Amino acid sequence: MILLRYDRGSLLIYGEVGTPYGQWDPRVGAFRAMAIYYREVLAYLDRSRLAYRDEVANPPPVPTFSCRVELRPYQNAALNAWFGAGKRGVIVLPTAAGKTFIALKAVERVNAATLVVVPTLDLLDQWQQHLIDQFGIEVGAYGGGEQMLRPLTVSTYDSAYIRAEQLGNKFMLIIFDEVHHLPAPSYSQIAEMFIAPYRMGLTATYEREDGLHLELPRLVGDCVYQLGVDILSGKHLSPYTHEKVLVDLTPEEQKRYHRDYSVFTNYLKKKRMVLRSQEDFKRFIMSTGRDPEAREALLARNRALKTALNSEAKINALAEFLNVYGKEKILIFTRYNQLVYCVSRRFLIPAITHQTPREERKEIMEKFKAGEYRAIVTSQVLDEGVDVPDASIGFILSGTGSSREYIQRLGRILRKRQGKQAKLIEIVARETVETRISQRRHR
Amino acid sequence: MLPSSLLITRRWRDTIRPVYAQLNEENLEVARLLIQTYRNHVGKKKGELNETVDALEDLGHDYRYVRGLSALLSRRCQLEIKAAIGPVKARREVFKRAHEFGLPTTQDKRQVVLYQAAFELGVTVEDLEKSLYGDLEDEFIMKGFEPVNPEALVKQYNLSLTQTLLFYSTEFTFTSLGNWQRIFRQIKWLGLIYTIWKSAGKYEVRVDGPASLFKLNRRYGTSLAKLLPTIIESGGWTVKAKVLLRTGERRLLNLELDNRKHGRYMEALYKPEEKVYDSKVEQDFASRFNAMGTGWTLIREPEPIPVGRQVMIPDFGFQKGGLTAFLEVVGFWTPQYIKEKVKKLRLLGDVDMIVAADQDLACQKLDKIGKKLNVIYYHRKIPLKPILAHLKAKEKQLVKRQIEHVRVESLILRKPVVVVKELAEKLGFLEETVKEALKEKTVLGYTRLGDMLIKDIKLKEIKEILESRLDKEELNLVEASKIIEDVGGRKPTSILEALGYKVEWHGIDFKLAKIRRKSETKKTSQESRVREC
Repeated sequence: MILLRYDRGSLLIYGEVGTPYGQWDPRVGAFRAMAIYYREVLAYLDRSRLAYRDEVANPPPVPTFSCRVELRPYQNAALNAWFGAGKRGVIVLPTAAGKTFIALKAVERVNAATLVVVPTLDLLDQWQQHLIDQFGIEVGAYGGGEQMLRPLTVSTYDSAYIRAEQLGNKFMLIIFDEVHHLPAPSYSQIAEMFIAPYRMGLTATYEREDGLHLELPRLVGDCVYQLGVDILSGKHLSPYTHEKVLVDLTPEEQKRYHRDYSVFTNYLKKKRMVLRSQEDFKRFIMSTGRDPEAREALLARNRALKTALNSEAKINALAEFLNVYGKEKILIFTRYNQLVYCVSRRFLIPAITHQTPREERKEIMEKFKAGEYRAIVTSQVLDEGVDVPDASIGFILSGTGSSREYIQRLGRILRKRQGKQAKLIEIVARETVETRISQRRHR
Repeated sequence: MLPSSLLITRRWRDTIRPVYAQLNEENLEVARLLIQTYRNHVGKKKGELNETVDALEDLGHDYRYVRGLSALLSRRCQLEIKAAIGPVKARREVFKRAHEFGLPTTQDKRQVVLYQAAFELGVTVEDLEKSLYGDLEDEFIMKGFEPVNPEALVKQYNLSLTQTLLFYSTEFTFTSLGNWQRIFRQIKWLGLIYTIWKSAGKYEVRVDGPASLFKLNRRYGTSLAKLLPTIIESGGWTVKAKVLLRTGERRLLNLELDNRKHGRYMEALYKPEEKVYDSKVEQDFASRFNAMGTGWTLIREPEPIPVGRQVMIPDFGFQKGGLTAFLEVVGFWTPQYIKEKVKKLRLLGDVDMIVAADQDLACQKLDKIGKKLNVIYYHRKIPLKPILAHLKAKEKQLVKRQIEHVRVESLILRKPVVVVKELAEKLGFLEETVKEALKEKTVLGYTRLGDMLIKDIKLKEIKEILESRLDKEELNLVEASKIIEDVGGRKPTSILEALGYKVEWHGIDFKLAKIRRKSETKKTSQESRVREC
């Protein structure tokens, strides 16, 4: 008889039978297959009418799940498309379109041990809370120092990657929130080392600049449902306007900016280097390890960029806006923590960065939801997924050129509320590289 | 282990290796400078320390080296938060006031909010502002710093550099001279898989992980890096690894390190104590066995013995003149442990293994294999007797087999004095074999004196010198020994004995011990008796 066993992220198939995806492993004297192919291996053995004993899956016992979620028509359509595809696949919906609810309904209907994988600790808290609210049971967690296995468990991508060996055979359904993270070379191993036959991916931004999203069909399943922002705007999402405000650096900042930036441009000129693509830039960065002059050029460029991004002029512009919009709910985004703390100290606004203690972060979010706080300043951690209900004004003080980051930030202020008119205001330093960075995000 | 941005390597064709910091004056000076900087910042803010270290990067040394050392030193710091009030509490109060009052967009309004909050918290506005973000890393106060000497720091840096490169490794092969039990225990603990084989008389071990079978996989790089310190502690190690530096790159680079070339650059941070015994029972056994002087060498954790696809490392090995035996001590156990052990012991093949099992904990399963294996039971102490008997029997068997091949009568020796033990080693026989042979036959022109052979001519020469001296004067043992050793003789007392002399002791002083002719001693004692009469 053939024996199937789970071994640290892979399947061991004892009994002289080759299966699809199985490879002979002389180290242990058995066939070995990636855990992701569990469903395929079983299907093959069944089709071939081969007798086998399956000791692979070892999920915690599951109660009957029931939740009160009511889906909107497009959410229902998405869920049905996923079931139609054999409980596998990716659902692409704009931020704030209620992807979480689709997933919750899927958990109820599949009714099996489920792992939700999320990119940040904020999302970990949020998913945990949603699951507890809906299903009324204790929910496990991996990440941020927590380690608890339950029939419903939430993990960060990092923890799931590190613990894939131990956790790989404990879940039947795996849900990847913000699934565009998954195809990274390390994270894709999460998909490969888990046996879960049922898989769901959720995202607002399916495509990756490096093209690795082409891996998603293998790792999670095909894209089964997709809707864009434009279709939902107004009806399910708030209408929004976008405004770009250019400010002049202070004379002192201008001097510093030009002094530093010319060090960088002079170096490029001297070396006849042209930085057209990200690849060019990467190559330049690599050269700084060997060439002290290149390193000096890079440091000067970074100093110049910081001068522009953290400009005092922006703080002054922000002060004026706060006088106008002070009664609205406001989110302020920056690229660097330094500026977060500068804004926080100056305007006495609560700050959230990766250094904020988890408990305090939770408290700030709750108070913001309850209206006790009307503003939060943050660097990047709020960029993804986290619900920030009815914030209506977003300020981008600085950011990267990534259009994904822009869409995510926009999503933060789009959650639907009656009569809400969302506004995203970008404050950009005039005549610096930042204007180009800003253009790139609007591609 | 360091951030990958600080990795310094050199590539040449398809090889790669870390660029080690030489232990030269320049590098040691940088290390000294950094250690001093850290020490000077005890009691100050982490942010200030960081600024100073940043400045040190501009002194013309490779910034990656400076930062690497700094990364290692920062692990030796204890940090604490020093704030008049808890920062979280301070923020909660300030943000609450600010939102009640309306976000302050001017300095004046800001002061009002801070004043209200400070009043509520019972602190000054100044203390409140200081406390507000006192829990950010830059604001931490360095409470203590555990110093290190510059050389050790540079060596730890080099080890960390190697480990950082190993993060990118897909596969790892090593050889080692010892430390086996710890190495294999760690391999298992890290969830890795090993394959072991013997090549040129040395065990080579390849280590990777379950998923390595499917594709090049750096998943286990971190674990492989963690294994390195244990391996380099063993001395006589070599390491070969395949490195995949960048994911896009489809070329594997070879990393090869050798104790002889690279060992002196590296040092593990924590060294294990020497002779770590698993239990008191084992320690006690080792000291009692060594005190017996059996001629057998007792080796703690000898080389691994392949059993099936795995290895077994017995607790002790016994070695003597090409004979080996092993001792495995089975003390406290769980059913799972004994199951594994029995499985391994069954697969052993023709290895001479003694299993010492605690009789108070003995169970049926060991009895089952008892017939095939040599199992002895113990109560608190491992008995020496059966083990010594076993070794003795082993020795005797070998003597029996060897004795026919020893032809002492046809040996041609050159040295005036030959020790039997050394002769046996030279001939490749057990000492006992040669001794046994010498009982019946003699080497031409030599006389056997206890455990040595001495040339007859030499013996005669010594006799003549001694006689002529004794005719003139009295000789003490020190003088006689000198005469014998001057002409190449060894073990003077046995030679004296063989030549018919007697040593007459007067106390323990060698100088007072007189040499007498055997016949003479009888005479003198008779004479003295006569005198007494």
